[in-house]
Amino acid sequence: MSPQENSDPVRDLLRGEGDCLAPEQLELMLGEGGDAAVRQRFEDHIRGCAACSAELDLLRGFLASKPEPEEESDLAWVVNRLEEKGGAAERAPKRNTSWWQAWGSFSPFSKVVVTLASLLLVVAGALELRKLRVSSPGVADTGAAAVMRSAQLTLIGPSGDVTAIPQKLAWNAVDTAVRYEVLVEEVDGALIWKGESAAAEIALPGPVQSLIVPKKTLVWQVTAFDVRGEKVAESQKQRFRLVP
Amino acid sequence: MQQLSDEELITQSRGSGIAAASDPYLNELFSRHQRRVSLWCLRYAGNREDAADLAQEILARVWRNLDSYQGNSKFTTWLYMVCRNHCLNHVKAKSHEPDVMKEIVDIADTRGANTEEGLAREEHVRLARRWINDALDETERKVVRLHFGDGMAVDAITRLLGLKNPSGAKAHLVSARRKLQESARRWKARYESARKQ
Ligand SMILES: [Zn+2]
Repeated sequence: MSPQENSDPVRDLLRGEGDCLAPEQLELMLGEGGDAAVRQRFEDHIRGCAACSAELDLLRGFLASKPEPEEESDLAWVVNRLEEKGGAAERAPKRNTSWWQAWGSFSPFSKVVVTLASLLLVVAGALELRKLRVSSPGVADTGAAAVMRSAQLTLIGPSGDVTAIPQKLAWNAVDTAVRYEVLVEEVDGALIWKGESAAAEIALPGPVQSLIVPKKTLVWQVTAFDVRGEKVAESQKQRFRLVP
Repeated sequence: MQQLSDEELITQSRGSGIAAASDPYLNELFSRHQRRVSLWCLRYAGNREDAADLAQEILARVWRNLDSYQGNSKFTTWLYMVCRNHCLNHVKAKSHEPDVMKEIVDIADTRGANTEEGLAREEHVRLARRWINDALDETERKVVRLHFGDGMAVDAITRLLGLKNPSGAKAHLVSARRKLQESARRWKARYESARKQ
């Protein structure tokens, strides 16, 4: 099963067969070199995948960062505005922060207190497994599709091959969410750990970190809930693997 | 300092023991990329005020999550993912699913006539994917995916993909819709005749 699979049927139809390319694989396709057979396999996937070919174009544009002549003045204005704000923060007395750090504290997201609401180390008991099966993807669930359309929850990391045991999981905040539920599973869907956080990240407890061993792929997923306890968004499943 | 790569700056910063606030390596890293992030936001938002807000939020987010960058990809690729994901999170709920996509989803679904064909849903989705691929050209597929799949605004797609034709992404959406409708009609007709036999 592809890690990119999700319950939105439109998204599902507009991607290619097999796994979509991870960021570092897209990066490879923008450059030269790399193993010829691997490149060919990626090219074959991209040819049939609107998601990856669009992603590749967006990434190419981002890396090139070449403004059109008509964009120059607005771009200069935006950069100037960022520097002005930073400058003000830097000049503030007794505030030993650089401009980008000062932004961090002004950001709406920092209002979410970075504390973990609760941490649950779950022995994958019968009850949890049952719950998990009910919400597993692949089961036609129009409710979940509606959720996907109302808000998107995207994961930041870890993703793909990692060289050190991740200390935390991080994702992009959803505006209306006050609580996030995080599942870490084995590739066969067996639950390893379930955690909760009010912030858009969660620290991995020691016992969970000890389960992250080389070459073993783990999958994680985040679900966002609003103040009434209603599910407002659900991420795709993301895989990561520790490489020795 | 300016000769160091992004990744070297991060490594130096992690090994320097300097408090992050006054870390010259991170300062260099952020100064280096603020223009890139600003241009992306400008294209996404379409106006400079919103672009400045978005860029500010993204750079703050990068700063807070920098320790989750593990060097699997280049820093710029990771930065792109953060930008893209942050911007897409700002997309508000789509008011309604476009009719043409609803029609296609229904056709790809196993419910109704299709179950009689004995095809698994997965098999059906695969056929529908191929059908969409055949019906649309490459640009149309990208535009359809970004608009209907990711909920990206039409004007943002025009700017981010650098489309130069007169009405940009909109023209591609219009032609994609027409082709998909035609194709859906043919697909349905084929099913109807298969069922009658
Ligand atoms: Zn793909």
